[in-house]
Amino acid sequence: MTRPLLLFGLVPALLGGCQATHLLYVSDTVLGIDVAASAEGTGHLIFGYDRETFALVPRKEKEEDDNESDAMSLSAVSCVYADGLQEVRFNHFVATGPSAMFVTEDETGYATIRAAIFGKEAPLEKQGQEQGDRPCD
Amino acid sequence: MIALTLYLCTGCAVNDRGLVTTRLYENDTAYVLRLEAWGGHLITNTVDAGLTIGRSRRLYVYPKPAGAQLAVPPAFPSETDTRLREVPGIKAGAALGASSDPVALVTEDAGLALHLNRLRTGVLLGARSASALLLPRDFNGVLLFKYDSENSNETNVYYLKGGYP
Repeated sequence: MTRPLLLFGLVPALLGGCQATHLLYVSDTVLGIDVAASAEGTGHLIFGYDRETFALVPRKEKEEDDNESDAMSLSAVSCVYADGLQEVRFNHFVATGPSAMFVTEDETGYATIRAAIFGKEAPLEKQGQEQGDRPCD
Repeated sequence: MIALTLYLCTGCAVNDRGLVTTRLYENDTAYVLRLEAWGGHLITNTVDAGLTIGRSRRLYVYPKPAGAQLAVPPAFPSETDTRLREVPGIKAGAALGASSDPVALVTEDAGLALHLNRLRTGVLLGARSASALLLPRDFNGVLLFKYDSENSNETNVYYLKGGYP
């Protein structure tokens, strides 16, 4: 079983050039039999129900004289809700590069975005968590 | 085997062509393409490439070319900026022919599915629902995507490349 899983992990690694080239937000729910390698390079064998949610933030492209590069600049507000396979809400606001800085400096605008993503204007720790509310709606 | 062959021959689709229900939406910054197919559905874009035998539903978000974007982009998108309207009577492939890969997608598979794409390599027998955002690491800009499977007609999208003024 190990070899097929390694193979499944190798293919996307080769397709992606062995280094993440994209910023990813993924929510993936499976019911049944699933043999796969996902974008972050891990293989899995599922028999039954499974759900995974992850983000992958790549490094910036290296400068010529850099040995290591930082993760790309990113500002994001996300709300993901899944109830089985039928009910999924996937809300994201993502700003990258210099735009990420502009976004975070505008507190009013950022609050507007938080409200849009989480569904209402509320203190950050309460958003989408009050009883009777539909999360991320 | 004969029944399966007949089934596949009568219900095949490749991307948005063949026996597939296609609906295209747009706003000033993006297109949203929805596909639904029963039978065999072959997808060829690099983000979601694969074959589904059974039921396949897709929602792709494509950025509009830079020339079609807002003349003066708002600092933060309002509800109006993100709302989509259906594009009637247009062939989806023609509208999206020159576009790059989708920057966001929602996929639902039921049946047997083979995937070989940027997000996943594998085989599924059963049902799967997946949502994803994909932005190249040199992307400078903003993407907003709001999707609710119970109210997918109210999907909101905003895509701005090039940053804020």
